[in-house]
Amino acid sequence: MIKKSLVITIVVFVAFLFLLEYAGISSLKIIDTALLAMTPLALAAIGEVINEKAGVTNIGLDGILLIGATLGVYGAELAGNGYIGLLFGALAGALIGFIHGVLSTYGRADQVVASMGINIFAYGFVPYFLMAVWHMPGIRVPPKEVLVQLWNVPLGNFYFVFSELTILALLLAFVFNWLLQKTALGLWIRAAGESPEAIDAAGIDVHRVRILTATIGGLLAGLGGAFMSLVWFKGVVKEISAGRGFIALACVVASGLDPILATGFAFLFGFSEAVAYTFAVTPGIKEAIPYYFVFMIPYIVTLVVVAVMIGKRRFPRALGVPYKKE
Amino acid sequence: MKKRNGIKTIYAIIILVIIVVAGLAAYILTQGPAGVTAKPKIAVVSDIGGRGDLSFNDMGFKGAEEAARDFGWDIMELISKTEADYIPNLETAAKDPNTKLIVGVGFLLSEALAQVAVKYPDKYFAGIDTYAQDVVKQKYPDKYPLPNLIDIKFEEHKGSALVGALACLLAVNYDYPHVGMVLGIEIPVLWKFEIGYKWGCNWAIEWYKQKFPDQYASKIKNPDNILAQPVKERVLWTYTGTFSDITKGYEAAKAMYAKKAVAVYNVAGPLGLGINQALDEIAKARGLNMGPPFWIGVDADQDWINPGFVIASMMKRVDKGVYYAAYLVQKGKFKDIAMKNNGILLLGVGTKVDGESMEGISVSTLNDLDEFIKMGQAAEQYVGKKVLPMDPEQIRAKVKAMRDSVPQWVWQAVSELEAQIREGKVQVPLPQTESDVKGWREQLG
Repeated sequence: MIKKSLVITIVVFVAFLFLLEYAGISSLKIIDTALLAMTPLALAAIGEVINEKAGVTNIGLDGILLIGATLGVYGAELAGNGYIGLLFGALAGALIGFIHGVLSTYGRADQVVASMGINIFAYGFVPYFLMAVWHMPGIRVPPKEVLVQLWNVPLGNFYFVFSELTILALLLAFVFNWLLQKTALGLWIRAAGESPEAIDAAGIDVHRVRILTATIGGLLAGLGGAFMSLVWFKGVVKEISAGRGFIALACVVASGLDPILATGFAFLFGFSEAVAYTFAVTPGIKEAIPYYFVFMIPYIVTLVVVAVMIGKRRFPRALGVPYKKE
Repeated sequence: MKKRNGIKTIYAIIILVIIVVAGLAAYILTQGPAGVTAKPKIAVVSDIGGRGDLSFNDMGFKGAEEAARDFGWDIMELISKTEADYIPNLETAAKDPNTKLIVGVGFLLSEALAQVAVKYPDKYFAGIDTYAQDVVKQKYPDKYPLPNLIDIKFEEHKGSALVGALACLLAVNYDYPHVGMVLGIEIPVLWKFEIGYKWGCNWAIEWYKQKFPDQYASKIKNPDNILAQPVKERVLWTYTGTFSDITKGYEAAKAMYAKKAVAVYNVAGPLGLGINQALDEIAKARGLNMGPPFWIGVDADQDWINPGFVIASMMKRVDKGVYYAAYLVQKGKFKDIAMKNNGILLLGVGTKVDGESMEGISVSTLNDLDEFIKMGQAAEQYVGKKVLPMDPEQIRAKVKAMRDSVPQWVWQAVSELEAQIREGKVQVPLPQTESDVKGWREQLG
């Protein structure tokens, strides 16, 4: 069943690319834009998929993206190296994920409320940090030496822009899928979400599994944020995440907690955004679609695909419920 | 039993005493020596978004800081998180006995500003981009115009016309077919930017036709030159619906640069960083050290963000507006000026108020860049670490080299347009309603 819809999707996608070329739009330029836009969404989404499989909900992805972006730049400047900055941002995210994990397990917190707290914290912390550390409200453009290279590959007439983090995100999607389905750890994670009592009886600490997934989720989201500031935009502005953490959540939910599918949705969203803005300036098309409809395209496309492609999706039975040991 | 109760009571009393003492201390400490220093205050109430928008609110605070420094005042900063905060913030400022001037930054504050200004007639109020006097006219017609309230507006359309002319002449010179513009949320203020830019582009092309008829005749044959494009296709533009999502700025600008726009005008504050990234990809791919292509900054001087690639910024001197309001209060001229101008000050190109030059709109110059660099260096001294992205000398050198590389006649054209606007020889359109905008879009694209 999955195979058939996958084939159809690929065929439709390729057909659409040909249509774009026919309209004089470079499909390669759209794809590289889409891949860049996909990367932070996918990283955050994959992390959250693992998290929710174990039964922990973290809606603070937007906040973690923001903090990862900011502390990533800080770390890069501190160490004078962009990769260390990426690590710094990832670790900041991991720390937040860890705290959320502890709150959700031992703390028995309401996970939605607690993770919303992460967002609120970040929205205040980042402008404060920008001002306190760099004395410039709103933006930090670090010196070029501490940035991470974004690769420009000349392909004939075009140049294709990409980052190794995009490849990492794609790899992680498959790795985590394999992890969930084929390893013992994956089994424990899924069991922690479906029936924590069962693995508790088997002697596995449910809390530890959940804290682990929460930390991983935070780490990946932090990395996604640091990607935005250190690799992609070469700077951080105080609202760099701009609600994309919630788009990542939408990818998570729409995929029914499948890391590969979530990445696919992230790509779809980035792709439709890129197409939408290209339409907005292409004569012929821009008269047909007024720009205020153009904005809606990415969201409508995602909704339509969800409605068409996704049948019944099951979520783990113990999702969002703190586990109480008897 | 009695002993246990006794101990519990003692604990309770101790805790109570601690709480009361701490509460009193907190109250006293936060009051400060209020009665002692009668230092006048200027209060700035920001719009939602607050500081750090790289333009608007930041410039407002900058102006207040400069006024406070020059006149020996204190500053009170109030950030609005939601629209519900406007009135409480303005009232908090008004209730403070030391505040003399309360500034509301942003047109969304207009209603709140009008209401509070009516309530506190002995305090002075200034709004940036607001239409509070209009609100007064409607709601309190017998009080209109309020003598203690000034709406400070700017002639963004004139500034946008200047950079529109600049952009299109760059396209003519370097043989590019288009110019671009990325806008934020479609609010009436942004219509001024949009139409001004397109009009300026058109003016520039007509100017070129007059000044260089031979080159015009030959360039128009080049399909890659903007002169060869139909009028409505010269400017590639779109609203993104956001003043914060830089990814959208990136995607929109990338599409425009892919269509060979020579310069993209940033009309969305922080989205300049997204536009910059789109430009940077092209620069890297072609191994460029400076533009073309370029982008154009807005509101504040944004030339420093990528020296050599930001051809200029359309500066909206919100800081000067706020400073001017404070100046009027200091000199005791506020009510006078307010009554003389129906409570509205329109700052633009060549504006004179009461005989004094009060320009509010300009295209950034190297002097503005120097001012900004000085600000950055002052900040660096304050914070003790680097604030600017590269050595200030390098920034200045790159920007100067970029400007010198553009033929003189381009800059001369912009100066000429500025002079014509100043002398009233041309009228840059000022769209006020949606039908105005539609009409101009029919003409100019």
